[in-house]
Amino acid sequence: MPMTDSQKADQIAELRRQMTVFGMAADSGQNGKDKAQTVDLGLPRMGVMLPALACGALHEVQAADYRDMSASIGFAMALAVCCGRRFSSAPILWCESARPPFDMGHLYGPGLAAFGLDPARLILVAPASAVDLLWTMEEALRLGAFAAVFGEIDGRLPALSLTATRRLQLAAEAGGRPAFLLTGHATGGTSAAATRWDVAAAPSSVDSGASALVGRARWRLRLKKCRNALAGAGADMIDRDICVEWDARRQKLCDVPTPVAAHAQIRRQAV
Amino acid sequence: MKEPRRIASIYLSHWPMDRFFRSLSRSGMAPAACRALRGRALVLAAPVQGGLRIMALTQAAAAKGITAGQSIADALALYPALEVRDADFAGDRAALKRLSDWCGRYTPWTAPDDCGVGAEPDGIFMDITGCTHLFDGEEALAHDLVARLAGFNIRARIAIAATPGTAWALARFCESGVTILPPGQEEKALAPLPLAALRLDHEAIDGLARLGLKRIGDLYGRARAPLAARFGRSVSLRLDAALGSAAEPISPERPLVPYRARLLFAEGLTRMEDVEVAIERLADELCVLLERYQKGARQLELMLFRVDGDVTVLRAGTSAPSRLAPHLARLFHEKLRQTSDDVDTGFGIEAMSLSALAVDPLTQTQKAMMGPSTREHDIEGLMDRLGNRLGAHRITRLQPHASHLPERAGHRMTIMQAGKPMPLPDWRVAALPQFDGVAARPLRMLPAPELIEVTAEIPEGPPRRFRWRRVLYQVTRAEGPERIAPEWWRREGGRTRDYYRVEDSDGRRFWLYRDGLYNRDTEMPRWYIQGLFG
Repeated sequence: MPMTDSQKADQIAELRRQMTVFGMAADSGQNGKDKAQTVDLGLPRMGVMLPALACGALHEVQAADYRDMSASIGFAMALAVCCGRRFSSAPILWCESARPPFDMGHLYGPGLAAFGLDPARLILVAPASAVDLLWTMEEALRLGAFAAVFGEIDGRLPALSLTATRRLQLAAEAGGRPAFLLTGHATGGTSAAATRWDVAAAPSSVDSGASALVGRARWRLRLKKCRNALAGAGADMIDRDICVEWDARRQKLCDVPTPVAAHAQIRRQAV
Repeated sequence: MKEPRRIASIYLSHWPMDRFFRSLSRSGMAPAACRALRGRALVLAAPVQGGLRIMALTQAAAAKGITAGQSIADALALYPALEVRDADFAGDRAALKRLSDWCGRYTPWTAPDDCGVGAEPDGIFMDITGCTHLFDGEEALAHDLVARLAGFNIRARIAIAATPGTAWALARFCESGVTILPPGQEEKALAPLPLAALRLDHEAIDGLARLGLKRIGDLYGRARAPLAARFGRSVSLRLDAALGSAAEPISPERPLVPYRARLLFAEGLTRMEDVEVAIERLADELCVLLERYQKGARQLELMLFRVDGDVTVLRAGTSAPSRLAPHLARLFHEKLRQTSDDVDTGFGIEAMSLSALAVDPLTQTQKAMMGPSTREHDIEGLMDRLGNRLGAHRITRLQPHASHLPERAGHRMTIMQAGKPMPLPDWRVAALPQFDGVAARPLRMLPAPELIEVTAEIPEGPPRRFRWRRVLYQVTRAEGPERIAPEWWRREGGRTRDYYRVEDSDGRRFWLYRDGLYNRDTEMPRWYIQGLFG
């Protein structure tokens, strides 16, 4: 039986409600452009899982702890792979910082290749100051020619003010490409970012614990902030732990059950 | 038809003294105090053989009977209240070079004149062939130049002639401030001048004087051979050069560029915004020129000529030849914005020039940027701007390197030299085994491996726990060893390393190695951490 127009409209509205997109402005979902403006993280939608990130927006990735810095960088790198796939052939701009808490060395080409990101697509910039770094990111975002723009910057720096993040957010909107700030482990003040993720390392493949081999990279993610949480379904995501795993061979994120119990058990064993 | 060559020689008659007062007023001395000092008897002295001698003096000093070249002791005997300061030859030469740059507002072809009336240079050569119409003729140009220099309190005389030698002689030995000699009259004009006007050394002048030859005219029509035998060839060479029968090239101070655009302003620009608008106009003009010759700029130079006779030079480079006016203009906007504290407009900027110092061929098709190439071009443009603001060495790409030593396998190249990035298959690590989607190499490498304290269950086994940066990590999982031998063909050998991938109780992954094998290399091998997995 063919649907009437009003039924169709209802169904579309319903589908749109179900489409859960991180950080997407509430009014930007018109004309079926949703898909064009998001980055698919390759996660199946399960319960509260949100499958996509908004493109023209600023996202923050922070580490739960100084020791989780490398985990937050790993998760950012997974996002880079997803963005790179979304905007194929566009390069990725990565602004580096060598100061604490980023005193964990430099990106390593063979490691990136093994992780699933073509190192040839990365353009690395190492500005001397935070101001230069923010300027570089803003210029690159406005251009809209990069698949994504990443910036390592200590979240406690006064340069990273609400105004600065607002500028980045506007630049990302103008260029229509995502921006990611890696703010380290101690994020300070308010921010205009669309989302903020808190990342910690998670023990790999708990179920195969007996083998004691290092498994795929796993991270415990926590969505700390989601700008349109009230409008979309992001609200129930806030401050909930999800555990994801990076499959370097298929280059996708897979979600795994949050191993709260197992996690705790292993910690107990270790101590 | 080739235009006849016209050379201007500027003679700065009191250069060391003028520059001395100029540097005083530059260093913040009040104009009134400066003027008062000018009126006093003051000399600049320098040590030569036989003690301190006077190199330059004020008019007041000359009025007391003091002359240049006198020894200080004699001068003080004449006038005990004489003020004596050190002459600064190096500073004079540097300032002369700057002034010569400033003369670039008239013609790109300027050079400080190495030969002065005394031992030190005191003039500037300008090749003004084909430039004079921009300043309403030679005479207007010459008067404009002398008036401007007088405005800087620099006393100057200028002569324009067909050869550098004649211009040099007329500027120094004609009393009038501006001398313009039409082509073909060199012989007549030079005849009454003393031989010193030929830029000969003292020995030659003295020798010729003993023969009764005092004026240049005395040399006309004389047999060359006896003169050459006694005084060397310099006399006839200098004479021929001055008369135009032998060529005398002037080598300009800056590289001569055919791609140059310039603007003159009636009133000095003082606002940075105006300067930026002017840069856009210059870039437009330059791009028209570049397009005519099918070239794209690789290196650019912007010169800002200040009203007070100083020149600011800014340079910018591009990673690919370009003749897009907005792009070229933006390169300098970044520079200006960044150095706006340093770029002092002073009393204003009266002229600007933009030159392409290096160009590469750029055909028409590449300029048409429609369709898919636009994005690549945008990125190139951004890279240029980033490079010019942050420094080109700060923008890098990763480049594979065929080495199995981990720290050598990852390479960085600046974007300017990297050229075309290598595609993924060239990364040797792509061939490394990847078990079930687990990366075998870390995402980040520490700049240098860091020593860690390790407790292992068995000597040759993986670590049980380790301490890095004062934090203790419990190892729950470990994989290894992956043995990597040193590159024995290199001199700095190193030891065999056993690498382990380890995971701590919270899931953090590290790349550790044991440096050296038990019993073969060392009794107690040390452990290092080299990388971090995501």
